[in-house]
Amino acid sequence: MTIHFDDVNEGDELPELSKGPITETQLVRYSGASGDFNPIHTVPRVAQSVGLDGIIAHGMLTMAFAGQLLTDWAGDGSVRRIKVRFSGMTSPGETVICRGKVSQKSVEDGKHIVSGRLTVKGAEDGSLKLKGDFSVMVPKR
Amino acid sequence: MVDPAHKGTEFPEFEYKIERGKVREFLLAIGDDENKALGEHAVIPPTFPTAFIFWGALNLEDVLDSIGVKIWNVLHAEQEYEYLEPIHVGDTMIGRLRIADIYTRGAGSSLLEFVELLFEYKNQSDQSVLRERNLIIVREANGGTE
Repeated sequence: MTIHFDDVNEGDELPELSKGPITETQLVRYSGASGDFNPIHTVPRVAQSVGLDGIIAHGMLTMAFAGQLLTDWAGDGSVRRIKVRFSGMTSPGETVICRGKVSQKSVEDGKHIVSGRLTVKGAEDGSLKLKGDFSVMVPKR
Repeated sequence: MVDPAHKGTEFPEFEYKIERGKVREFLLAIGDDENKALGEHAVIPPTFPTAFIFWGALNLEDVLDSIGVKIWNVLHAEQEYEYLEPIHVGDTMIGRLRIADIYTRGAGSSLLEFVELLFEYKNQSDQSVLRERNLIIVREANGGTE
């Protein structure tokens, strides 16, 4: 199930991960799980009072999906580094697609590292939610 | 405007004990497999450390308040986790937060204010396990109350 360093090549695409549709209840649930109770994610009145059309998903929820893209592919505990830049807001009802691509393989201090880039985009309109890069540590046979 | 004098401010150490049920709840919330929280050597999902901040003894809302920023006027620009060692269910995190940078980009009506937060975590064995960088944009204060 887990990938091996020898089987990974530069340019390989990670198995796509589709998440959603995101629901209002999921945002309530994620607020409780993460402890991020910023009301712009759960209380429409507050979201509107700061100029939004309605509540929006936590950026960190979409990053969590990107994290799952990596652990589904390389295994739990494999992630050494994940960095993202948030680009667009995600609203309840949306489904997002997480994608990644390998850009480099390296050996650092005897550890086998695979690095690459990833994106999370809206499934319907293709709008960019976040993009970033990652490094995972994987076993060698 | 955020006073640039807050750059370099360090906050008191805070603690977070990683409970299994909390990790399971997080996995369920993100639609991942809750069974990953089970097992003796269960590791946390990559972005779980967000709970260290919000459920730890650090109150981010108060931290931001102390530098004159209201949490509902904040947009998350960038987020980075760098794992130095695996973090397991049952570990205790000791976190430190420093305001690493405060700066503006652009000018006039398109002026944006950035605040960079740096978190460093050690575990119960005093091992450095995680570095986290969190870049936020402060929107112009335009109301917003609960």
